[in-house]
Amino acid sequence: MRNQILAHNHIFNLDPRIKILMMLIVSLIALTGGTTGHEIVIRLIVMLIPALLLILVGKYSIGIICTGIITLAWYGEAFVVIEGQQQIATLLIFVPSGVITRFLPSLVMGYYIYTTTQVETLILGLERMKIPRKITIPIAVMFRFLPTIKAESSAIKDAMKMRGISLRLAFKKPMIYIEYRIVPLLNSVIKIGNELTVASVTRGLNLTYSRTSIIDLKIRWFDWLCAILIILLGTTYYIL
Amino acid sequence: MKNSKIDIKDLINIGLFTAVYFIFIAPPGILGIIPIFMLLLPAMIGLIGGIPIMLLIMKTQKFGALTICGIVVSLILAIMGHPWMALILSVPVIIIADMIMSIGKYKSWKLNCIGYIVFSFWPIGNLLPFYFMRHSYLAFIQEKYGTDYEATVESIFSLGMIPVIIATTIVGAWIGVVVAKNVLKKHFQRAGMI
Repeated sequence: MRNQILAHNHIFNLDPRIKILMMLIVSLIALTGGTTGHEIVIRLIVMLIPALLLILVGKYSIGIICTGIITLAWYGEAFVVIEGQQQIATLLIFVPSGVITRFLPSLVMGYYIYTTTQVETLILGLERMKIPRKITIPIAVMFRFLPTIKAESSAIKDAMKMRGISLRLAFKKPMIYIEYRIVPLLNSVIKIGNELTVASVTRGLNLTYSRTSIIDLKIRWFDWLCAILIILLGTTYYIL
Repeated sequence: MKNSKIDIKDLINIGLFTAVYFIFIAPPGILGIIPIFMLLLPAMIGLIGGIPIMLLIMKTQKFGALTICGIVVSLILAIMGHPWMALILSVPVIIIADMIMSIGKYKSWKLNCIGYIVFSFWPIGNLLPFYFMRHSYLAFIQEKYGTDYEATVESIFSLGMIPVIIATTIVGAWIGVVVAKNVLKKHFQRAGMI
């Protein structure tokens, strides 16, 4: 898992603070999207930014597919005008394109953040933003554990298959299925939690001094460029 | 009330169970993009999220655990593109739920149950924009896509639906918490995990 994540000093990998800022503006503009006047063009640019970022860090296929889908949906929402009262046509064109333009950009941005941010970098960024440790530690543990829980869950699934507890049982007796899948998972989560607590206390996580980090986190020219670009776009979108 | 401050062990537990909760609520959350399911979303989240939340409460038994868990979930959802307006409703609701549970020092089953039902109201915040920006949104739809479609949308998101949402949420959360109680009793308290 760790190897798939891009190194934090890759030239097109943004600072976590800038990523959060971009996420906010992208999701705001995508959700509240107006479809009149100059707003149309700015909205398209803002919505395409996450997909372009994905292309920049080397995820060409996903980035290009998302660019295509978002552009199509944007076109469908903004320019296709339906004559008369055709309910089916509206359902087929307006609803899917509306859903896509509202949700896909922030999903793509989330995917970008998830695949390019190491947990250490994220935590350092959050600490620089003066967010209290009571919030940062649970977030760190959470992101650290999402892959682990996935792995545990699939291991339990395999083990339960041996006992004949598969998806077919889920339709017959859902309660039993849930019990057999969830109880072992929670058990192992509790055990992992106890171990992790001991391990982190021995490494001094419960000290209250400000901590040093092995990562050298700086806002570089590409970060500034992105931040200025997105703030400019956001202000023109709302003020003009 | 000794040892009532949140320490590092609790923070790690909060992180773990928040991760589990997040995984549990992801499938209904994705279904929630479809408008009809959006109305049932709080109920489904209440139904599914019972076990991790009750386990977290049983494990920490301190004021603040549920608050931090809920705030982390709603913050991450807000960053991921859910409407910001949701935080106005969800943060007070989460804190009230935590307070209700802390009256019984997290041991009283009844208060925990009421607290969990209150806690399950937080996803309703995500539906708020449909009510606040209603007129401009409906006018925009009517102008562009005709009155038929506007009528459909209006009937789904009418003010009359609010009691239905609240009622389904209460029922969903109630079932979720009863299931959680049985599972916890059967598997975790007897095994001495809590």
